[in-house]
Amino acid sequence: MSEHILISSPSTRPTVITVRRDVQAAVIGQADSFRQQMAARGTLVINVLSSPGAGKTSLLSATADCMASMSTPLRMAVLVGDIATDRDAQRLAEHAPAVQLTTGGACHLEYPLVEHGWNALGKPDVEFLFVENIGNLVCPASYDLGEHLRVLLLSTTEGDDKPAKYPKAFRTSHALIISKTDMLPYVHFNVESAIADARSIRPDMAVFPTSTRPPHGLEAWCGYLIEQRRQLLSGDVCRPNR
Amino acid sequence: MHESSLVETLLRQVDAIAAEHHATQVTQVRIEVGLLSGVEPILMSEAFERLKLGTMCREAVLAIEDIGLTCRCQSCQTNYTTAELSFVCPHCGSSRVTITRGDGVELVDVTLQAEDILSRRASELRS
Repeated sequence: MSEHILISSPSTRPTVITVRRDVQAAVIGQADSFRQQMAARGTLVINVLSSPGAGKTSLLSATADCMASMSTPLRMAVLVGDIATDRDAQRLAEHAPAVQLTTGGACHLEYPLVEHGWNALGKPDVEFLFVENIGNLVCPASYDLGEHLRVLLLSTTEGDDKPAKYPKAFRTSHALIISKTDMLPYVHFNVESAIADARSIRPDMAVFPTSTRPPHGLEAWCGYLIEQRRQLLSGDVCRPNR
Repeated sequence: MHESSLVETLLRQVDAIAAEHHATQVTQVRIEVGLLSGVEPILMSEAFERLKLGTMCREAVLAIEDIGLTCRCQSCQTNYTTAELSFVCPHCGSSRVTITRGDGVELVDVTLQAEDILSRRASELRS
């Protein structure tokens, strides 16, 4: 018998290997571990999604000022994603430590960039770490960045029909900020209808109408963040849910 | 737009599986794409055809099954599968639904041409 094996020529046969695993399982695992680490050090991580120009950088600058002016000042840092330039990081640097993540053309951030950015920031002692995603309501919705909270900005100048058009971004976000409310007198944007549409996709969506010029609604937004961090500290690690 | 990046991740995983099983080539890769995966199957196929060259999958077929969206209603406890992006229970009208399947891309299985283990043992004995 062994002689037969020795003289046979190498042959191949078809084999089916069953895998049954999410294609992104490995990186989701890394993101999960980051989420746990950040929870253990008391830093709430927030992934901020929106279309280009919805006001993410302005909101985060105003948020940093609002947090710093509290009776017990709270600290935050920002990782800001863009396809090119470090303009947003420069703008933010006047308000909070910020590191620019440039993707060189990629339409979304992925977890390894967040880890890189967090190391580049020097892992500061902050209560909040914001990750400002690439302006895009499609691709970023599919990537877990290790956040505890996902927040979506919808500006009044974009129109109130976005929730139905971008269901995944809305479905995976915990909170909706309706930005640029100062523009409401000039644009066709029905706040109630936008909220109703968003909640038909995600019934428990928290909603915060805000404006940065002049500042409006920021206390409620910051209060929400503080409450979310309190829940994180009490052991409730929320994650982008289904 | 991110289909290319997902396909790159997929090809790396399949290459690793092929190497682990001493495959000479991969003939089929089967994936399931959910309705809320954020992925367009046509673009996924296009990216696969473009990126498979130079990998173990260069001769492989990508088989994509559209699995829709499976939800569980928290109000009436019904499980249902839908091909429409609606988050309202078709049985009781509640919007308290949880997605249980269909928000990602799953690698189901890989068909490969593996070197017969007896032949490989024989080759090893010869060398």
